[in-house]
Amino acid sequence: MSDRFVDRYLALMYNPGMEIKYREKKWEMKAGMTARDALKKIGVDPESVLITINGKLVTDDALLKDTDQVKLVAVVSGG
Amino acid sequence: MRCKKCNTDAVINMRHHRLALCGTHYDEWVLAQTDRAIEKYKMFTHDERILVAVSGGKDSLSLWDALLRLGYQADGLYIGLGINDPEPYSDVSLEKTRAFVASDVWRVPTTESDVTSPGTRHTPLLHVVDIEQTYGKTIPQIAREKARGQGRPCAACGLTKRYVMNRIAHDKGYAVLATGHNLDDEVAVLFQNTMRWQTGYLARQAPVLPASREGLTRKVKPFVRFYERETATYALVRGIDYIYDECPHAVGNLTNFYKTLLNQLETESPGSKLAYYLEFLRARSEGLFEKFNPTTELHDCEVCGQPTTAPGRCAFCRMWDVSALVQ
Repeated sequence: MSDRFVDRYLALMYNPGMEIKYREKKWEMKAGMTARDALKKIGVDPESVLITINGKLVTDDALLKDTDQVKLVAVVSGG
Repeated sequence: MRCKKCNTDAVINMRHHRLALCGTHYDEWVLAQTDRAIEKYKMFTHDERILVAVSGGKDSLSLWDALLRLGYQADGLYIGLGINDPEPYSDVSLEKTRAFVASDVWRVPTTESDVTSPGTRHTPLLHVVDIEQTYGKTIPQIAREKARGQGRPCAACGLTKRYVMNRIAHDKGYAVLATGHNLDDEVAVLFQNTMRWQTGYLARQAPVLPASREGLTRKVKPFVRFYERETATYALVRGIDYIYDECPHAVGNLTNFYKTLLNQLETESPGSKLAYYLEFLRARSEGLFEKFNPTTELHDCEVCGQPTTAPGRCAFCRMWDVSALVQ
């Protein structure tokens, strides 16, 4: 059984939820989905943000766990 | 997702290149691609002095960092626009720029691609031009007063920045002016010009604008092949502390609207933005827009001496009511 499968199983079984922050907004989400699925749910285009989990840059296939602090960084800045 | 080179955790997946990389290998890749673009478009050499227009944002600070690490003689120019209402945007931008110069970020070699050791690397100068101190008003103030700026501070801001950048580069003897424009910036402008078939603008959009005349400095865009998310990733990987906020006057403008549309297209069809831009450059290099780029006779501005299309005062001197050269 792969680690990824175990992670997903545990996340779904023991799932108090996690939080995604983007600019001034916050969303409560269930853990166990990928970052890309979470972005889709909250209506954020994955091209327009970078994803950090617990301060670490990740790709959008990263699995979100209940202890994760997810922060989205807008790629558009400056002027 | 795993790094294609070392199989550790990737920090970025570039679907248009089918390439996922970890922080270390992404850092190397950005430096290599930057150097490649500089050579491909014949932007500048290691013997030339380069002035980088820096805003405190991710693109310009990342560009400056990359050029220094690649061994180029790159100095910075920060233009204080006086945009500090409702938030101190300009003040924070300058603070971030100064912090970058004072920091160790650009001094530390992190990969084998660093061609210069910290000891031999160029020590950058930062030139700061404060618009209010130099010309008596901030950008929001001049934009409120003048027809060019009414409801469109970006027009007054763009004219002022282009003028100051060219003047400082010329007066201080820089061979080249480099800006941090990325592919998303270029594609948004291309889309805007294509929607309206602005053939004259299309003819002049390029990674390098040559110095066609005495008084004009060559302008280059070394990050022109990087997506905006790639320059942001480079800044985060390098630990560059940049201003995250957009200019308050840029929020909701047409360029950002086009960027949003093009990102939606990219999400559904990876590589669309890159193909759109590269195929445009190919068509341009084959002369598709050549007849729309007639040589315009330029005159010296009677006040500042900078090149201008119409005789008399240039657009900058007219907007700022400059009647004598400001030093």
